[in-house]
Parts: sequence; structure tokens; C-alpha cells
Amino acid sequence: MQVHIDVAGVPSELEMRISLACRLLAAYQVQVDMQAWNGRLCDVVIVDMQSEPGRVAYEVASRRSLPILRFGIEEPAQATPGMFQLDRHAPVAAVVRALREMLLPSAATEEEAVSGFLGVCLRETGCTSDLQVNHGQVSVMLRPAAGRIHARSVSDLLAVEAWLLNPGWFSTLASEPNWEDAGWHVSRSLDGFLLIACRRFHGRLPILEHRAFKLDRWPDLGSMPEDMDSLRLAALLHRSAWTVRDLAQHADIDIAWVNAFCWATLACGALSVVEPVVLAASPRQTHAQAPGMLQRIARHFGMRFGHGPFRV
Amino acid sequence: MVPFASDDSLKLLFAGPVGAGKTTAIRAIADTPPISTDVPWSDADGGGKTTTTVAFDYCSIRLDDEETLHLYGLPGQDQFDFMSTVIGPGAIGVILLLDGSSPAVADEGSHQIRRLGKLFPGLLVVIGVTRTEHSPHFSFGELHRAVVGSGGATPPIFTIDPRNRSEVIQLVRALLMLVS
Repeated sequence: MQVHIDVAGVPSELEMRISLACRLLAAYQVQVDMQAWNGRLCDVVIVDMQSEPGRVAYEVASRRSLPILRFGIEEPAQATPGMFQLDRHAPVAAVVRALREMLLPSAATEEEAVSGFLGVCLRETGCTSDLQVNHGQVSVMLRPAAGRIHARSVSDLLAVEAWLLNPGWFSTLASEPNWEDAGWHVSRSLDGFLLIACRRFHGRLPILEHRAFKLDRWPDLGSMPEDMDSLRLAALLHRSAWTVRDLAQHADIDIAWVNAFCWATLACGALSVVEPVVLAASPRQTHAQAPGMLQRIARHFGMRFGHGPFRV
Repeated sequence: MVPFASDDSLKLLFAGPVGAGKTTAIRAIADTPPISTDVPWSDADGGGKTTTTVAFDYCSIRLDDEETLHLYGLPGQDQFDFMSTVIGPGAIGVILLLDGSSPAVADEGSHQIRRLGKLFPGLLVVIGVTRTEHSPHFSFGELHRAVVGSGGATPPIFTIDPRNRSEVIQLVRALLMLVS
């Protein structure tokens, strides 16, 4: 797909970021022809409201009902169809997301709509670098590849949990930390942290609809020893692919809890979206012990046999 | 005297390197104090552990009037692998404990998975990693990749405190989920 994106009144440093973002859109099969706006009809006009040419271009483009991406707006504006805005210091990834949403609105998923610390984790899944993630005075070290989160204090970690969905988080690449001196004394499993935090906000997370998910690996459930629902969900999702609704129905667990589990495991990189086909369960090793014996062990540890993995 | 349970009795094995917390984990969930064969550890490196298990730990959990679950902690050193062939047959699975504070935890995990694969082919494994909270260098991802690279399967890996009964039980439950 070939698109025309024009810029007006944009400073050179910002124009470089926009240009890089336009090139990155090639990953979505979008080829961009970018130039200074001369009043032509184009797919997106990008303006900087801090400059006079940018404000004039904005007036003209909005009269022509062209899609506009504005930078340099001091106050958050009301959402208007075809009108997007970004902070002047927005990183390239944010510009890519905004342009992608403008040009390919149907491609946006629930994950991309989530902001806050959870949004940072979702976007950085698979990142092999350590990241310092900040919100005001609170700062944590996020190590997606290691599956760990570090903080200077437990209260910082609790603050991150409380602000899981709050906007205002930004991440930067962390320099190689000197663990002994930097004070990152509190270290937790990222899986466990996200599972607990998402469960706390289960009512505010949009339901992951229309797609099937499967666990590539078991999440670290060590920090949730009393949570047998998560254990069951992990066992089921590790064996085969499920939609959130089907899984909730099958496991007889509240859909909001199942959804929270899926958000957490997506954000820690354990869960993947798969084609919505019925997958055969992974071949399982048969066991010599009679089911009755295993049932007695399960009962001792607070579980019981049901359909599929042991039920609570 | 430590009983050797017959091959058709219920057995659960705990494995792992020296100092990973096998004896502690067994103690946390057993009905009775384990019969341990710990002896002073002449190679102790000052890390706090002064004894090590040279044969195996044993204890049991009474499930009901008829059935007992036998728990065995396998010796951490490879030279005692011959004990495993005595204890292993008929086990429902292995809980592998690894020391997360060790810089070589990923290599150790890989080694132990290969070792268990040779000793008990096809037996299901769940991994518990101890001492991670104060180990800034611990990487769950690195351990996971090392384990998958060694055995092909993706066993559950949980970070736990072996002194915490409910966290050890969560490992047992995960194993039962796999068996079911």
C-alpha cells in the first residue's frame, strides 16, 4: 500500500523521527511518500502546533477534512475523528503506532489500546535489553528477557502495581546496572508480578476477543501458592489453544479472571496468539499409576479430578 | 531404617544440585521429619550450608488409611546416581530444585535435565528455583532456554522458597496437573 504523508512546520529533529517512523511502516506493507506539505490531498498531514506554518497548515488541512497528526499541543484535546496528537518528544515507536492506527485502523488490537505500565510490558515483550521504566519519582528496572522486575524498594513495586494502567510511564534503555551500587535490592518474578497486578485490575482490562491463545511456556506461579485457578488455566492453555470465552466456560472460572490471566501472560511473553483452529492436545506421557492413586494424592494437596486437569 | 518402597507404591522424587533446598522442601510438606543422611560437608564454601546429603532423604505423607506417598530426596552429587536406579522406578514425577543464586543456574538446570532424562526416561519434571529474590543476576528466561534446549520439553518453572509449605505444594500440584 502506497501512502502520502506530508509535514508542515515540523522542526528537523522531529522530522527525522517522523521519517524513520515512515520507513518502519514498511513492516506493515505500507510504503510512504513523505514530503513538505504544499496543500495537496494526502493521507496524513503532520503539523507542529508550536510553529506558525504548522498552525496555518492545521487550519487548512482541517477545513479540507484531511487526517491530521498534531505535535506540540499543550492541553489534551477532545478526541476528534481523523485527528491524532502526540507529545513533541514521543519516541519513534509511538509515532509508528499513531500512523499505523490512522492508516490501518482495523489492525489495532486490544493490546495496542492498553497504556500504562502494562502497555510498556506488552510492547517490550521479547526485548533483550534491560529497561528503566519511570513514572514521576517511581522507577523500576524491567528485564523482559530475564523475566525479572527490580525496584529500589517494595513500596516502589507496590506503586507500579497500583499504577498498572495509568498513562505517563516511559521507558529508556538502561545502562549496564551496577547491581551492588544501584540499589535495585528488590527483585521479583515478572510473571508473578504481572499476574497479581492484572488480577487486581481484572475489571478494567478489555476482554481479549475473537482470538485464540496458547502458552509457549508455563508462567512462574511460584509467588501465587494459593491460586489454583491460575494453575488450571496454565495447564489448559499449555496443552491447547483457547479463546478467553471458551476457556472461561470450560474451566468454569469468571471470564474477567481468565482475561486477566491472559493479559498478564501476554505481557510477560508466555502467551501467544495462534490461528483459531482446534489444536490437538500435546501428546502426553502415560503414567503407570492408577488414576485412583493419583486422585488420592491430588485430594491430599487440595485438588480433585475433573474433566481435564485436576479441579480445585 | 529407611524403607525402600516397592515399584508399584506412590513415590515422589526431589532432585537437584547440592544446596538447592531439597531436604528443606521435603521437610516443608512431609507429615514426619525426614530421615536424612546428611553429613558434615568437607567442601563447604562458607555459603551457609554445612551438611550435605550423601545418600538420600526419605519421608512420607499418609494419604489415607491405605495409601502412603513416599518422598525421596536424591543425592545432589552425580557419583550417587546409582541410588536413583534403586529409588526411581514407579515414581509419579520429579521435582527438580535449583539454586537461583548460583551464577551457573542455567547450566546446572541444563545438566540436571539431561541427567534426569538418562536416569528416569519419560518421567515428568517440574522445576523450583530457590533464592532468587536477592539474586539480581538470576534470569528466568535464560534458565528456561537452557532447560528447553536440553530436554525439548517445557516443564513448569516456578521460583519458590523451599521453606514455604504452600509454595512447595504448588510445585506438587503443577506436577499432578501434568500427570493428569
